[in-house]
Amino acid sequence: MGEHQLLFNEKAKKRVMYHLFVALILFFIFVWPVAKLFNRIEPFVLGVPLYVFMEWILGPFLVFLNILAYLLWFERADKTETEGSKKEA
Amino acid sequence: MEKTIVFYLVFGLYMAAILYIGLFAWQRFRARDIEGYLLGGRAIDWFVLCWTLAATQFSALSFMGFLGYWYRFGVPSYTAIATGMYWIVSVSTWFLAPRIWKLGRAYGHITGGDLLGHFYQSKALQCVYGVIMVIAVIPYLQVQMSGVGYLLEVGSGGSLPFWVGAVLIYLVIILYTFFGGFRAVAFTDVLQGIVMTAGVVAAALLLVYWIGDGIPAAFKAVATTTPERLTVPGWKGVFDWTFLVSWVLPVGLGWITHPHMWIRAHAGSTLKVARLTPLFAFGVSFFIYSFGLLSAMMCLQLLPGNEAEADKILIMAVAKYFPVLFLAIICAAGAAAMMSSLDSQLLGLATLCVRDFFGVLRPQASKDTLLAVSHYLVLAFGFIGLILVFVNPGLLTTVGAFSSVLGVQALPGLVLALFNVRWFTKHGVLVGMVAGFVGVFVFGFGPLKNYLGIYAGSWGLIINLALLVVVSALTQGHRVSEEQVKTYKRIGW
Repeated sequence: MGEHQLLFNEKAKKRVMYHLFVALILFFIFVWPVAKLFNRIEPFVLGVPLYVFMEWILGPFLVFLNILAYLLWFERADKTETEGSKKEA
Repeated sequence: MEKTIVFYLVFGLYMAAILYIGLFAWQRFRARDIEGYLLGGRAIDWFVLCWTLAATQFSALSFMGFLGYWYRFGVPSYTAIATGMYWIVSVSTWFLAPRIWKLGRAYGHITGGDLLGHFYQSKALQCVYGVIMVIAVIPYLQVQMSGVGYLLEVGSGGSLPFWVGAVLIYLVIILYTFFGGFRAVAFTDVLQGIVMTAGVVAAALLLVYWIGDGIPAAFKAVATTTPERLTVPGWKGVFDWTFLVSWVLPVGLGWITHPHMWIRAHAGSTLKVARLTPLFAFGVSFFIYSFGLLSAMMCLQLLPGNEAEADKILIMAVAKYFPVLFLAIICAAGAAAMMSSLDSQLLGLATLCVRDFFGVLRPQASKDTLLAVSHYLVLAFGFIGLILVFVNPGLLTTVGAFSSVLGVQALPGLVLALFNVRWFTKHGVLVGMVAGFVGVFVFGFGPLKNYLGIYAGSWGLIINLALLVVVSALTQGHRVSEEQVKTYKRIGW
């Protein structure tokens, strides 16, 4: 395994940690303790109570974006890695 | 009479399709070794793997139990279940799956026990992991089979007795799982997953827009009649913040440790597939849970005051408001949810036994012997599940409720192995895992039940982590070798 591969592994590890940290923040916001702040029925947002909107629509959407961003980063990193290896060859 | 014929026709066609796909997979991809039989030769493409992961995750519990929970306790229980099931499961899967996949390719791991046994160089640890997982998953078999039997009885208007339904489904599942192994299970899961998702979404949309007046009207009605169900702590104050958080974490984190979920992280054909599947599973989970919540909210208006029969509420609503054809389709969707988990659990348990018990006791066993043992184990566990349906011991059903939090007791050791952490020792992992397992029962029943309002699963995990640290500190002389850690690090992310 070349140095380039090891460097990529370290980068990947950092990226995984970053997205895991974002996931944790989202957990603190949407499950506890920040969720206490929007634990209300009023106002209705998009036709649903505030707490339901946050838990049912906004929270999952942000979690989805976090996972998507992580996957797209790996996709791009894989491409860069492959192109780099070709140039080296 | 006509209604019953329509039901049997739809259900019969569905079973025939499942059987055909399962046997086709067997004919097309004959397994020659246990990796072929138990893991599809580690060559499953993204579409099949994504659906099998999603379909395996959704079971009798998701289709009937969770919906009943939302009907009874309201949105806080949705936060607990949905957060646990599709936030934490997805996050833990995308976080861990690529590493599990890479180590599996490098060292031939299949089960979590393989990883523990190999990293910590401990056969005892591997066997204990196997025992814990068997105890965690077997009661689940009973729950799935009972669920299918019940669905068929209700759907057929009582003309198909509970036990006949359970035996019929058992025969179909055993036939394709025994012969086709992982590929048959995964291929049938694609159809089962699609039917299950379509059924849950269609039921919710029809309830909301055909019977009701749309989503805002559904929530407004609940806000007027039972507003306590729309905020924490929910109906009768059951899901207060302490219970909610202490429930979400161990339950959500526990699923990935179960053998039928863990082996799916190894089955992908490429690393990209291993990375992609959690995102897809998240999407399917989101659809199923979101629309399930909608159905529950509609059922609160249509059939209020049925808390005692909450598990059956969707089937009751569909039977009351929709034609029998639709009832049959919803029952097929329910059966899909249960069958897709049941076949995966059978195979997962067989994998566990052949790797973590038989493989440890007979390391020199030939390829053919291992393959034959795997086949017979599928048959044996199917039979055990069926027996349990008839015996129906209450204790097992109760243990089934702790399935995930028993599994999570293995997670600390697994994560430490995946991250090559050297400080924690095999003794610490072993003692922590066993103590956590016992702790779930101590704080799950009797005078200490959910002590201080904290869910038993969290108590188990707290005890587990505390002993992991203490025992590891006391046994530093038995740490994993530096060479072992280096070889694991070399595998990378």
